[in-house]
Amino acid sequence: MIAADEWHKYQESYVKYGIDLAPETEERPKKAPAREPAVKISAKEKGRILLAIMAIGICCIAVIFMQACASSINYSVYSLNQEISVLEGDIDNLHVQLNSYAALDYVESYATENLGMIYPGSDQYVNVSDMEGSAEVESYIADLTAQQKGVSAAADTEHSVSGAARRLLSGPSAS
Amino acid sequence: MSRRTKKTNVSVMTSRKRLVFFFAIVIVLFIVLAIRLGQIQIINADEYSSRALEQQTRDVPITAKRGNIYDTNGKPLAINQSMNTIWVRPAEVAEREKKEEGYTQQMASVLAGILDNLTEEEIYETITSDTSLLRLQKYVDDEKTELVREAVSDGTVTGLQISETVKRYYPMGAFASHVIGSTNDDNNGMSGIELYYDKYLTGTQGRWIKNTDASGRNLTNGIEKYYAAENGLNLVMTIDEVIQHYVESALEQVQLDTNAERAMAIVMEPSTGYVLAMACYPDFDLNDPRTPLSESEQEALEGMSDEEKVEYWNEMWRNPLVNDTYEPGSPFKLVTTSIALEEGLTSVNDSFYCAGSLNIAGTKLSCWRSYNPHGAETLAQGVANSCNPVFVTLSQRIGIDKYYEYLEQYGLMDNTGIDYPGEASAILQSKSSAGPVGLATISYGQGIALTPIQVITVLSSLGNGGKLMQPHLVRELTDDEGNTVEEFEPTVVRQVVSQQTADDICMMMEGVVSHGTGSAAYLPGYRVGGKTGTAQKVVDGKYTENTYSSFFAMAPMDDPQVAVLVIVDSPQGVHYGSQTAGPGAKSILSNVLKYLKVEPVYTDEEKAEAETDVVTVPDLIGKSYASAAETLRKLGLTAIACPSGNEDFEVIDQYPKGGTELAAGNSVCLYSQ
Repeated sequence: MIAADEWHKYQESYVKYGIDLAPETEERPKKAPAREPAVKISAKEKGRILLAIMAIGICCIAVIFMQACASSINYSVYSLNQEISVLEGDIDNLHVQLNSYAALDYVESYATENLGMIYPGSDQYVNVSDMEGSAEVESYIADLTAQQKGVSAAADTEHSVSGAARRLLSGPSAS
Repeated sequence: MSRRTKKTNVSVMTSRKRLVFFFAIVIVLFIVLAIRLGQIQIINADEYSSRALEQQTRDVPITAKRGNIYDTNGKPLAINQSMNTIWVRPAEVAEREKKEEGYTQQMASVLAGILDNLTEEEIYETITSDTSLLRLQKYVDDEKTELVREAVSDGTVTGLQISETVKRYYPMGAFASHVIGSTNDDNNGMSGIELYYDKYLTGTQGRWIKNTDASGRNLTNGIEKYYAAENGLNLVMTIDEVIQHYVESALEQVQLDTNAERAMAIVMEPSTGYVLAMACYPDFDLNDPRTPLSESEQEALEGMSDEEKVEYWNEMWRNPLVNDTYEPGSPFKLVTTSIALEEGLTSVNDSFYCAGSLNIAGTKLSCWRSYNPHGAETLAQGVANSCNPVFVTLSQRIGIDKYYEYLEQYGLMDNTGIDYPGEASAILQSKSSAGPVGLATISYGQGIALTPIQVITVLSSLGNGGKLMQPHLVRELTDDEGNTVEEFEPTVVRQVVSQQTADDICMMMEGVVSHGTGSAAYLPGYRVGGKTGTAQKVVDGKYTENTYSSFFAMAPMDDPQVAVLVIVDSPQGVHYGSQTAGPGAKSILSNVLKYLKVEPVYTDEEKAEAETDVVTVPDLIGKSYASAAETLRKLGLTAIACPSGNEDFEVIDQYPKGGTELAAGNSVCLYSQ
């Protein structure tokens, strides 16, 4: 059998008449690859898509940024808490010092050795029990007040006796 | 087919094959990855989860603050102080040493200059050890810690870590030492109130469970659970700081005057049983409980072996007022008297005769004044004279059964129940074997051993209408905000004797001070009742020449606000209670009654006596101290140099001023500056 596309080679009678029986190899027009119908995206939509991508990108970056901020704030909080506990410790220590200075032994030794104070003798106590119009008590308080203010005890007692002393003198019923 | 087509087909086939091949490889790899992922996420999920949790999760303990201890007025007696602990990682130091030769020695030198109590050699040994983390020093104050931080930041030292810690601090130092007690390094109570109330003071530790990074910082999205610590409760004691101070000052003076081994005292409020003060001298500084205050004792301690040191410390910390017994001696005669009066076996004016001694079942029991017997006397006089035969007679009338019944009523068969650890029990002769002689000796306070807290509790009941109260050292427990969590109210144990009997005893006690052996405690303007005591000390079961000299006093006798018991252990020289413990009791009462605002009410005799003794203070300014002191001495006044320590100066001022009227016996302060 002769292949169909080679049959013409064996037809001499046609060849002597100049009839070329060779099949015309038509170049099959290459089929253009099936193209999808072109989707036309408008500029506006392109813009929107771009914006959407940017927004998502920004959100992602923002999330990461916030995480970083939160970590940083967390660390700051931790550091501040540490500082607070150190300061609380300092406050406790200052209280400790204060309490040491308030100890009676320290107060007594400072008073006697540094300030030259002494304990009063048994007859140097004044027992103030009767406050109602006691002239003796009023005079005594007036003297004390005058000494404090540096004013002579001969001044008018009515002006030199403080309001607190007056209330003291008027007794419990007045309070 | 053309040759070109063929070639094209072949190349396509080859590419495809390669593609498929690589695709297969990728698929295989993905399958392997998936299998591995499955292995990790599913099969070994639990294991990896727990390891991650372990690595990331930190369980930080939140230390609970130990509760503070306050006196009855809210003055802090024990508080917490923030301090620092310095740790070292020797491996880091060794690494630095490799880069810089001699660095370790230099670091040790720098640290020795900053830290106390550590030599350069000790520091060097620590920072070159094999351990990964070692404590270099505990309880470093802020100042030194800051120096260490600076040294770390400038690179002079390395491998150091600083952590905060809390140290128990006693702001008053050597104050109420035997009562408050102390804590160990772990802040657990070791003795005294710190030990007894340890479970209340300690609180409950909290926890902070969190996810952290490698540096210990919290992960933002990690889990976090916080369980807050419950701070310990605060104690408000019945001890009054001011009264305690008066007592400790008085005991120091007593110990100085008598050269005794120890001087101790308790002050109690008879109506409530609250202990207002409790002290033993010599004492110790609670902030350094292992170092005695006396230099000679410190030297002696250094030469002791470890076992001897432990024994010494236990002896130093022991509170003899609660933990030890002694034979009370004559103050116990008040108990005998109260039993006899309550049973109607005697009366205040009942007659007795002291012949110097008494024969009981063939045993001669002598009076303390057997060389000059008291002769005929009433019961009240017998109490004032502390005459032994009177009480022996009373005990015979009471009988052993009834006597022991009352000892039980007075709570002497049990402990008082005071809130303090290690309370000792009384040592009593067995009723079956005591016999008449035993009973007789018990009647005057020998042949029976009681703790001082038992003695004052029993005798205070006589100033409380015959009601026996339970002694207390703590009044209430409060929280951080000051709210009361628990209150310990005064507890009445029982009515032992009647009000009438108690009143009669109080009257006789007043007679002891005004006319009897207790005159050393006489205070003008105050009705003071008391009883002296001088009992032989028992050592290793035998009586020695040393004594426990004591004085029990109460005031004011119309409504006793305060009871005082002073005991002097082995005074040298004079050993009678009236002369050794009596002045101490007077000093305490004098200060405490003024502090409690008990006003003196002077009798006409006392007023007259005060007026006759008044002198006028001369003007001494410009005179030498020696001359001024001599002038004052002739007037019956005492000179005090202010400030003390220098007596070679010219007087520039004085108090009271010249011309002031002052009772003899008072002091005049002469100032040098």
